[in-house]
Amino acid sequence: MIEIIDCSKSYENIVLNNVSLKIKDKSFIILKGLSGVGKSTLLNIIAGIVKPDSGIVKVNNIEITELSDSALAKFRNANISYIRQTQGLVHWLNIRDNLELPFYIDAQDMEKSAIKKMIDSISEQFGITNILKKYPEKISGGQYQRAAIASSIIKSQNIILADEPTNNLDKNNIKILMDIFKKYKSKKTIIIVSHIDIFDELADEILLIENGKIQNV
Amino acid sequence: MYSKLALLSLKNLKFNFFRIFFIFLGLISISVILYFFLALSLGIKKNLIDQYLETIPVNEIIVTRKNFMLNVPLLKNFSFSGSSDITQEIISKISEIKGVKKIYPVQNISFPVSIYIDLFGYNFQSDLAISGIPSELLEEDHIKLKGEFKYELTDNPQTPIPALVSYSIIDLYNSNFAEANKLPKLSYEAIIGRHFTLVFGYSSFGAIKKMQRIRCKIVGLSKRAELLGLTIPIETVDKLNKWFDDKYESKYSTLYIKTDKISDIIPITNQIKNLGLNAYSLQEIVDKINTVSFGIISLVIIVLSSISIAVIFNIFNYYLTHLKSQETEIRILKLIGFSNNNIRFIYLCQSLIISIFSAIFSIIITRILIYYLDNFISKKLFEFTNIKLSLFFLTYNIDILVFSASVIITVFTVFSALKQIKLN
Repeated sequence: MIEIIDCSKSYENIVLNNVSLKIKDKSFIILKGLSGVGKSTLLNIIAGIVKPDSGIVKVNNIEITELSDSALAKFRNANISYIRQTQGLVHWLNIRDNLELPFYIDAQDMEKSAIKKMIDSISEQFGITNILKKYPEKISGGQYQRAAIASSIIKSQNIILADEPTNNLDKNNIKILMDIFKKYKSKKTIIIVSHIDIFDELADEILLIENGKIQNV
Repeated sequence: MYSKLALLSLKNLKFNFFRIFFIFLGLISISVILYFFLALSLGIKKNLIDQYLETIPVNEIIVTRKNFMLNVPLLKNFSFSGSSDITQEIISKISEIKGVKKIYPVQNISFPVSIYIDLFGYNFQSDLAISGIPSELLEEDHIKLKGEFKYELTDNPQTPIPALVSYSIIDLYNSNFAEANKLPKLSYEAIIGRHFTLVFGYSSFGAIKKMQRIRCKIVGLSKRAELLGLTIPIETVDKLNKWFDDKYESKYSTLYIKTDKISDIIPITNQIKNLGLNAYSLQEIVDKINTVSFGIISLVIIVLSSISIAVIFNIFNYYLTHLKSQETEIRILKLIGFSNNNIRFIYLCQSLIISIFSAIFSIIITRILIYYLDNFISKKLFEFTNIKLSLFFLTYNIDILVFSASVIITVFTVFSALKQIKLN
């Protein structure tokens, strides 16, 4: 369960104004709204990347706004997959290292062979096996997008956050992404920020952010 | 986990090698400059200034005649003087001053003397200045001699007079006479034990009224010795002066006065000056040399510090640019679940690797550079002056200092640059 209670956030303008929201476990939520209304900010608040100016954010009954930086980082690593396809890879690591990166934290409970198995499996699923030793700048745009998505979801956390996941994706990659969301629907909590309607059929709820408030569509 | 983070540092370093290489080069340059000038300034201080200062007896007062003197050897010791000579009476007066511990007089031969030298088959004759000092002064200076510094002057002398030479006369021989006449150079030790012939009462202008030929043997070297002559026992000088002139009354050119305490030096010096004599303490000169050398070292440190600050500022800016170019990656690491401390650790670890390697490289480079440079300079200096001298001072302490400074400054600089990066 994700609970947002009276959260406000301002940059130069008020982006979120006393927003409250409850997202049930394993539900599929789509956040919509015009550009700059605060969709990404809300997603980042849920991920604990951005702290709200006021209000409380609870994820699985943990008040993440009260967590220290290191506790929050551990929490994020354990619970949240953040899909990032543009600039989603660390450019000074090869694709294998990028895929292994989420296991660098709390890796002691996972065998090396198990991590390797996971990397091999997801690489095969995303068709990136042949580029594992390459650096992000040496692969094509499509391969980069697939590798970025693979590295985001490899740890298979319970909450998947995706900020405009279809941006710059070609049809093939959109299909791969669609298949992933279909696979995880009703198994994980999925929150997507998207301005297109492609995922609407999967959504349990579509929320519209307007004037700093959230409305059900 | 931290080993994995360190591995990430290495991977970042490997990928950004050429960008970071400039930081590496900058660090090496500043460390080499720092090390080189530190070793040079300490070398000059310790191997040159301090060693020279050690030879200066600071706890003594030097008294000389306050006069302007015109010496014409042919007309005996004709002098026109504004004050009295240093006589036994003056010595008695000085010895009464409170705090005076011991007085060592220096007496000069007051008539012409020539020396006949047979060196490496090269014979020559020269006029020579001869002074006499008491053997107790040499004991006080802890000078080891090859033979006794005592001589019994007889009418028909058979044994050689023990004599001392100054270091300067050997330096002068090596750098001028030996060089010009293609003769072998002499080490300080090589002169000891050599015999020469002294002709008392004879000069280049000819014999005077009495003449006596006596052999002399060099028994040692001393800073007290006549700069361009020989120094023999004072009793012998006195007897020779009396042999040459029946009416000669003992008088002295210089007095070395030892005091009970170093703090007595200045008040005693002032009292001696009131007796109409020149008096000075080497302590003042030592203090001045120390002040100047301290000033020079301070100046070197200030200049080096200024260069270091400029380089550190450049490293800071360069590393900040490097970090800013990785802001996207830092954001990705945060999304994955890396904490701010994890991210700081990656970059600090990277800076530690760079600084450790650059410090090791710079120490190796500077040590090799100094080794060859010092060998070259020492060789040239030895060829010219016969003096073995190292201009650089190298100890493991400087290695540790340069290593620590390089590591601490780099890590601190990178830490400051990290603070400029928005991690939240």
